[in-house]
Amino acid sequence: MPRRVARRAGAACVALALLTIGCEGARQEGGESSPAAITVLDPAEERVLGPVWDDTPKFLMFLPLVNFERGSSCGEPTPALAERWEHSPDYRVWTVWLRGDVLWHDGVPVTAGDIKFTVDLLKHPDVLNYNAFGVDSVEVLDERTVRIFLTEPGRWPLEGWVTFYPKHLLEELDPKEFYEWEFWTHPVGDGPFRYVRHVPRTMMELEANPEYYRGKPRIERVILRFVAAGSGTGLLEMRSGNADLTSFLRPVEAKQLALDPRFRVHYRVSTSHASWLVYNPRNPLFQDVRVRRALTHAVDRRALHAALDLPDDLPLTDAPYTVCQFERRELAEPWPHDPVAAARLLEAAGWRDEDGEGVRERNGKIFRFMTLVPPQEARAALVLQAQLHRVGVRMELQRLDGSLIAERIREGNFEAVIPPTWGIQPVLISSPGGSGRLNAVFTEAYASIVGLFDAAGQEPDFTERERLFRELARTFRRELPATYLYPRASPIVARRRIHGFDHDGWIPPAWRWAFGGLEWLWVEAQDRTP
Amino acid sequence: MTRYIARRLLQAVPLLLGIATITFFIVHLAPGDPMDMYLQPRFQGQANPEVIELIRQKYGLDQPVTVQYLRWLGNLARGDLGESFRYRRPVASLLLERIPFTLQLTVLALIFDALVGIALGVFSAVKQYSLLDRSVTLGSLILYSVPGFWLALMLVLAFSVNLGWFPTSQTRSLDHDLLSIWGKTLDLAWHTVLPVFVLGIASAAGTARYMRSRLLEVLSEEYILAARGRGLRERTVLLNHALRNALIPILTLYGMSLPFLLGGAVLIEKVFAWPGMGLLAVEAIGGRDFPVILATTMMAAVLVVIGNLLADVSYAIVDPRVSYGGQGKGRG
Repeated sequence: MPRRVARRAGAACVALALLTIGCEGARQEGGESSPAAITVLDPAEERVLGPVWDDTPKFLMFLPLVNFERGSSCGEPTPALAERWEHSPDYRVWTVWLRGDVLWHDGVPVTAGDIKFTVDLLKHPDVLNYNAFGVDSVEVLDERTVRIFLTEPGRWPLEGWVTFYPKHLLEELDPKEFYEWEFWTHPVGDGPFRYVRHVPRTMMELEANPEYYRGKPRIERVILRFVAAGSGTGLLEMRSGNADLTSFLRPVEAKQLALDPRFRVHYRVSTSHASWLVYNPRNPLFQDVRVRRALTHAVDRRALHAALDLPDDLPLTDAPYTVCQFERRELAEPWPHDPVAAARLLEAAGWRDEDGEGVRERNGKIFRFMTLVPPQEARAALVLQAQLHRVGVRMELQRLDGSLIAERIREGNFEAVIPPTWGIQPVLISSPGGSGRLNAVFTEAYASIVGLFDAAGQEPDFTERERLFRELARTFRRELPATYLYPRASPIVARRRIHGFDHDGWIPPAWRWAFGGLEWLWVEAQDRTP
Repeated sequence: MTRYIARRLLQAVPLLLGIATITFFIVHLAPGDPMDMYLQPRFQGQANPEVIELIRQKYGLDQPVTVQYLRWLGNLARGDLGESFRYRRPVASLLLERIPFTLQLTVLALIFDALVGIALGVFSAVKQYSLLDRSVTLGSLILYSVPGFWLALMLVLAFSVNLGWFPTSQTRSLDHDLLSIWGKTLDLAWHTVLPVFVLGIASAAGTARYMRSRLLEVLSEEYILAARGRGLRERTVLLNHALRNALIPILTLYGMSLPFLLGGAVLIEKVFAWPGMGLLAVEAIGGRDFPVILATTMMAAVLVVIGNLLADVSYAIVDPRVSYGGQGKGRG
């Protein structure tokens, strides 16, 4: 009997211990936010602010030369680390004057030497960081002035992506171990937030920088919580109240959270990344513009967006655009969804459904083509397939990895393709380094479009670039080498207690990095959790 | 025994070499360019080919595949696993960071499996056809059939999101570094409960079924009847005679289950944002991170070899009739 009692007592102790652990944990986890603190989910780890990840969170800690943010004029940069700048007439030499009131978080002033040091470091043969592509050299003119020499005409200093590192802390370190430097796990930056502490593979805590040149941010503490993307964990973390803000949920997850009154969903629409159905101009099926236009009429893009859980008011167009044109909604008018017009155009081009089997034929050949589809577009492709079938066109799908599709595009070995994440521009334009276009096929067929794309892509002058794009849009809409499907719209889910997003729905694309915008957000006093 | 272990280890060398060769060529001959993944998405398709070429040279990707293979093999022999394309860091240091997390998960899951699976199997066998036996049988079948990731998500929804008893994900709390040693231990244990339960419960269900049938088989042996006939207490018969013999094949099962647990950990690590080797391998495959794919595959292969070896060695330890040294009493 005493043994049985002892066993039961043991079991009770184990249960009690588990309960205690649970309660203890719940207490720790429940303390989600102290005043004006927010927890942000991120799919990275403690090196998130460094060059390995090279992603938007770096702007919490480090400043670029220029910014693109609210209030900036139509996608044109606003000063950040750079106070002003000038360029030579051929856009190869840029002179940049730095602000005099920016300090590293350890109190040392940011100087021209830091700019040169960073570029030289990124170009170092042991580092080979792509952020220095296009820069030939940097010359320090004085403490606050640098001259940047580019390998080709361009706007590198105004791209606003490269951030700079403190020479006085890093110059003694070995570039061979650049990506492993301990510095990246507890960095010293010059941006709006500064490092406090981190728990490996778990979180990093930052605090508002009181010395920040634009004044201390209103969010006092930012906790970056590291959670793997794509596992559904982000959704659960938001639901359980462990996080306030995230920008890496899938659209379907964001849609679920939009139904929860605690959250508000904003969408960040990319101007450079969109999905297109691109037709191979060498394929006889697509050489008739009436066919390309018919296919565009046949696609119901609103239905497509709904099927992809995208917002129902995404802008529609049928030509590429610039940031400015997107913000002003100066987009080429889209060809409407009109199956009747599609059928009429196909018949005019000789494609008829003679045998009543639901697929059009011409000279005994049925209207059938194969589309290469990257995994992330599989759902969109299925919707398109069904929509085209309704007008008697059979689109078959071949699902391939993105890099394989890139190879097939380079070789011109495809009938139709939905290019992977990078959209249509690399298919049509020359790379900035003058590498030649990915696919010569398009140059032969659409010389004027490719020429305009090339010219606009390499045009450093803002006004001229806008003009070239307007001209491009007109030609593109007329020629329709591809059908526009949807712009990439990434949901940003935030708890309602966080204020400062421009308005309920859209985040302007110029304010393109969620993390760079954290310095503009705030939490009202009544919303703060004690 | 030492000679046997040495022989088995030597035999494993050509096996591992074969696995290394096949994996290397499958990974490298698969179409697609790892450089497409190396670049940050905003640079993909637009980067300067000269710089891309320099990066290619840095990683030896400009060389013929056979040259790359020989170089990789040479480096592997020296313990150099290369540098990750994604993390730009030595693969060895990445693995060293990740292995403790996976070991924490898998070792605890194995212990959980052993404790729960064997105990339930024994109870089930001893109380054959009782309500307990039927409940264990039904529960085992259900748990064995349920996909681990689904069970994980359901448990997180119930115990983390709704009840708030356990953390939703991760291995530590946000204030882990500020806790006392005791607090840190509790914190780690608290984060481990759900993932270990999910990872261990399916195999525990399997173990329970196996243990039950094995024990029932042993309990019907004549030497058990003889033991009972000698007037030994039922507990002694069960623990000293039946259980020890019934456990022998279970040990083999555990040795073999080591790589399977690692495979299961991949999904569990993903759901619980557990930064182990499984998650690293999945990310590497998605990002064409050749050095990491090769290293994690080799790790899995080594685990299979070690698992098998452990199973055989433990078999000999538990069963005195088995000897690998050629001097044993029995059939070895």
